Amino acid sequence: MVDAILLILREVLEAALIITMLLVMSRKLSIAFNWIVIALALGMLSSWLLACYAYAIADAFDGTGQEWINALLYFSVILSFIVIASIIAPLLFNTPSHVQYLPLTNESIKPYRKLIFCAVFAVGLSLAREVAEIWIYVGGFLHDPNLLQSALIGGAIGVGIGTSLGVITYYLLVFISARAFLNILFVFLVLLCGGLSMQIARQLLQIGILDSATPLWDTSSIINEHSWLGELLYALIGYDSSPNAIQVIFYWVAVMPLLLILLWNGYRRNRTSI
Amino acid sequence: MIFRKFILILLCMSPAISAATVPEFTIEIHDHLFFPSTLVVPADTKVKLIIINKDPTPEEFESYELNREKVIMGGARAVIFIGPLKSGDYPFFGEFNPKTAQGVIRAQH
Amino acid sequence: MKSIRIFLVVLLVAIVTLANFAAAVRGYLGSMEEAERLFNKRLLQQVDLLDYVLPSRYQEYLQRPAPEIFPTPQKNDSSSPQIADLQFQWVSNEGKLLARSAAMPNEIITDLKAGNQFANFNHYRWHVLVAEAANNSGWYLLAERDDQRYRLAESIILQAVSPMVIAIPLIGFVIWWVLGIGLKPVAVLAKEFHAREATDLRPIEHQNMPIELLQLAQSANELLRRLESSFIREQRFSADAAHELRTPIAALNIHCENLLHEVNPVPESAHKLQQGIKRMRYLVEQILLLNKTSPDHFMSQFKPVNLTALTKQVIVSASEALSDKDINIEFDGDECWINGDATALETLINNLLGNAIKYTQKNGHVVLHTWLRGNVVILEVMDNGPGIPVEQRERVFDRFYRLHGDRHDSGTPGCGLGLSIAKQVVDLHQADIRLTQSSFASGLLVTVKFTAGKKGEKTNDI
Repeated sequence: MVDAILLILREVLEAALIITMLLVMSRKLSIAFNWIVIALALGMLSSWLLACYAYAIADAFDGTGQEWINALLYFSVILSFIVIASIIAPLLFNTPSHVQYLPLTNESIKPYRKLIFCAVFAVGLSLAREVAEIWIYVGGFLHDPNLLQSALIGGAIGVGIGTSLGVITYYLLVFISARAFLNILFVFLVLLCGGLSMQIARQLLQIGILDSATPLWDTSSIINEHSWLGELLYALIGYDSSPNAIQVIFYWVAVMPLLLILLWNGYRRNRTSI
Repeated sequence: MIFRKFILILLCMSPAISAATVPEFTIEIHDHLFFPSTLVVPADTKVKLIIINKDPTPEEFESYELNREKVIMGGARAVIFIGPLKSGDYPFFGEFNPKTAQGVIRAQH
Repeated sequence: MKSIRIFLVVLLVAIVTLANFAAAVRGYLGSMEEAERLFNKRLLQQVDLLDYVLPSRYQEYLQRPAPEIFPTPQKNDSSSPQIADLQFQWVSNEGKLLARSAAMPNEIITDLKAGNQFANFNHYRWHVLVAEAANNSGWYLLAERDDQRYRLAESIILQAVSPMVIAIPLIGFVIWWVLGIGLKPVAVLAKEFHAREATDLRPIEHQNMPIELLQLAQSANELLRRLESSFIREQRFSADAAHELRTPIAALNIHCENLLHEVNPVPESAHKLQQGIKRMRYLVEQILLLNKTSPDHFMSQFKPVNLTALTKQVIVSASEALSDKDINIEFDGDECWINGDATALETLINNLLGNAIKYTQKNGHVVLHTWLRGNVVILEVMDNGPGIPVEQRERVFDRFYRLHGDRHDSGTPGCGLGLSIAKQVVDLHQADIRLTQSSFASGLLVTVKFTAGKKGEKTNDI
């Protein structure tokens, strides 16, 4: 049962975090919540397809299809996060009243459509990858009612804990100011993009496309990935206790555009204020 | 950014293709157990693991120490590259049946 | 926070779920550990059992070339068909296998190191207890299938954990229900406010109100009380002011008339005085009307009113002014009923007709219509006077605004309140007033659109 809890919590926690952050974002910017329904439907459908065609995917590209698909999903999610960040970034440098009343102005409607589209995309694809693993996992127990009961109860507990944490985080974030939240959101996007990018590197290392060198450092003695804290950090920022040089390079390649967006907006703001 | 990433991939791809003589090792999954449960591989060498799942149920090969994670469907086989590893023990387990499916990769000279 | 109820339900269920599941996991882990200890203890007891029998035969077994194989005991119930739950090996101090149960392999399954270990054989993962035999007579290796141990322990613990999971939707439903009951007074209060007429200023009943809402209800009642007393004061003031002002003005008028009769020749200033008094009386009447028809103060109930009959009545009462200027008056229309206040509507028509008469030259034309067009009642007042320029049509509704300032060519007394009052009555009836060009060569057409109402009783015509 604990295995099921850990496995499912790990998948649910990451999805719950992404969904929570984007829901709070759309609330702070007065965007209707309808998009989440589409995103969830997209996620469920695509995860089910991934699970159904798991054999075909695994055999594709000389047995490396799974990694390629995962890398592609990670990559798409990173891209949509970068677009979201580029829309959010100008708001970070605006006056508080501007952020407050921004949703009411006419010119703001167009980028918000792009924002919603990216949010649907990011949530849908994150769910696709994570929920597909849950389908495969639960599917493996279908033949044995005893094990299935244990797995389902574990799964229910995992989903319950993950969702509850998401809900509590949501209400914590709802009660902070829009400006403070946007800052948190941007930091979250930076960390998440970096973490996801490291996952891409790992997928490519796994199929031998990239050559792994020895890990740059090993912090597993401080925070073990097995531990609860390690799991949480993994879900939050893609924590890896012993990353390779390649992974670190990937991390910075993904984080760079976000930092550049931030710097450019800061520069533009300073220039206009003079 | 996309460009940079692809160039990086291409650069790294060339040595992987040329290195055709990667030593291969096979691990079988039987009744949610790994056979052999202790696999000895050469240290400081890139190694190709072939994992064959003889069970009808899926299994996920996972190792925090090796930093690897891959789902292997029932009756299917999967390829995972690991290393070069420093000599030492690297435990791995099947995430779907962690109680039974446990093993260790021992890298030594 | 859009809804208090949803916020509370979602957050409470989340907190309960988190606490409940954390407790379940904690309990599960603790119980599993306890079960593990229990199973290990049971294995140790088996060692004691072996110690009763085997050590005495150590020398005998050492001599044998091949290990003794104990057959699998036959069981009546076939719960574990192939392999017995408990297996063992007996190994000499030198590492030679002395005896084993049937399902055990001939090789020694694990290192000879006292304690609990794991080994894989026969397609299973086994929990192995390695223990030294009594009297220095070798080692026992007792093996139990790990998956069976695990499943047995878990099946006991799941009995305790699964109700916690099943309870969550139930708890959610109960929280939803209980909060619904708890928040009912708020809903009732909101509904009571919503259902009230604008003029209903009775205090709110707060006999059974919870203390959280009592404050709100009491404040609201206090506000309502003050509002009502101010309304009453306002009404009384209007009535008193009307009375108090009309009487001295009437007296002034009589004295002025007397003055005109008594003094001969009549001085010019006496005529001017009479003009001034007339104007003052008109102004006071208009201000009182404006006050009476203001939506904030309007207190009477709407009734069905026959607009056509009312219009005719107003025309009849204006016949003196019409004949003074020899104005040609026309009236046509359907019988129209609207929901409204007869006095206010009379003022409206009177003001519109009065304006038309005032600004039309001698022998001019004034036309009135009341049309019923489906759901809409249209009142039209048209003249062939000078009209109002387009750019001033909105402004004429402002209080005390007068066309061309004070240079009035009509020579009639006016104070710039007529159309303000008309507009106020129109707003009161949620109608629409519009000023356009008349179909005469010049002049103004005033169109008022009401929503048609039900026909009232014949006897209660106006």
